[in-house]
Amino acid sequence: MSILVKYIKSRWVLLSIVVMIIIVLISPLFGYAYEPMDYVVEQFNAVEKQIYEAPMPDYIIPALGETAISGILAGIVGLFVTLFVCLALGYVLRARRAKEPS
Amino acid sequence: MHIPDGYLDAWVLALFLVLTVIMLVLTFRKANKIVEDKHIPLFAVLTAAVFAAQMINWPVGPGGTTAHLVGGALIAIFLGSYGGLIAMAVILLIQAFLFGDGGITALGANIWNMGVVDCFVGYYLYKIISKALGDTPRGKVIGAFFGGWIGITLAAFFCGLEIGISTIFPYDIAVSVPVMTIYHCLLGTIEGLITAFVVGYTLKVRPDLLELPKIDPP
Repeated sequence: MSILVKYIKSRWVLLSIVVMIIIVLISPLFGYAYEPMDYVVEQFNAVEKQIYEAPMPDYIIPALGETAISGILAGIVGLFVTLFVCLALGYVLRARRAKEPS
Repeated sequence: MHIPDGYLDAWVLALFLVLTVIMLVLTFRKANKIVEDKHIPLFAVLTAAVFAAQMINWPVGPGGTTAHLVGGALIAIFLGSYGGLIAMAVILLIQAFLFGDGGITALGANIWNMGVVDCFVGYYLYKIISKALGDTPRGKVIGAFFGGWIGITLAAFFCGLEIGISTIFPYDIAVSVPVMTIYHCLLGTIEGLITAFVVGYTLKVRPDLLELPKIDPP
């Protein structure tokens, strides 16, 4: 874990994380989505066949219902999961590079 | 642009899954040889930033349609086409498995559209245009605009193609491809502007972040 903390210690990284949290905080204001894909689907009367129940469907924490705070918390969870996965993946790739014969 | 489960025929799912897996194998082989310490925080921050930015929808399209940043070209401009593909694959996997955004069976197609097409088209267009304009900061910003714009437009073209050739839709690609491509061509100008702004701002405050070795095909 300490090796991952090393990567996020610099000022620009911490500042970027703050900006990302702000983006997630204001995201409920821009939550309405009607993408071109929805338009095509509407035209064709296509129906989604759900085969998997996600733990936070549609960026909502089920226990908190469809509220702004639920969307914000789900977004923050997603944000930190993404950060952690990328730091871990980057660390693994770098470690494999170090093992490569030069 | 996230295709859910149930929209694509099995053979379309299989085809794009195979193509995407081949690209990811090539990507990780190359990444193993290039990734160093200084890539890691940038990779993590850019990927998380695009994840967060995708939660913002802007209602600017015809008929009240909205769009959000896809961001593949933006990440690829910093990390290279393969680097962008890894980042987009991480985002799409998290969105599908944690939030049900985009189908599990459609992951191959979604990663192909928003990872492979957006990153490769966006990045190489950026490189060609900025080189043609003398690799100046202005040339890089213009290249980033076109990379972001055309990258998302071609990703939407592939998305329209995949749903159009699938039999679940009663119409064919003559309808789905123009609708997806034209709408995203209009909405994609915003993607181009955001990509250009981020590249322009980075050139002013931290130009070194754009000079890292790129994770790219040989």
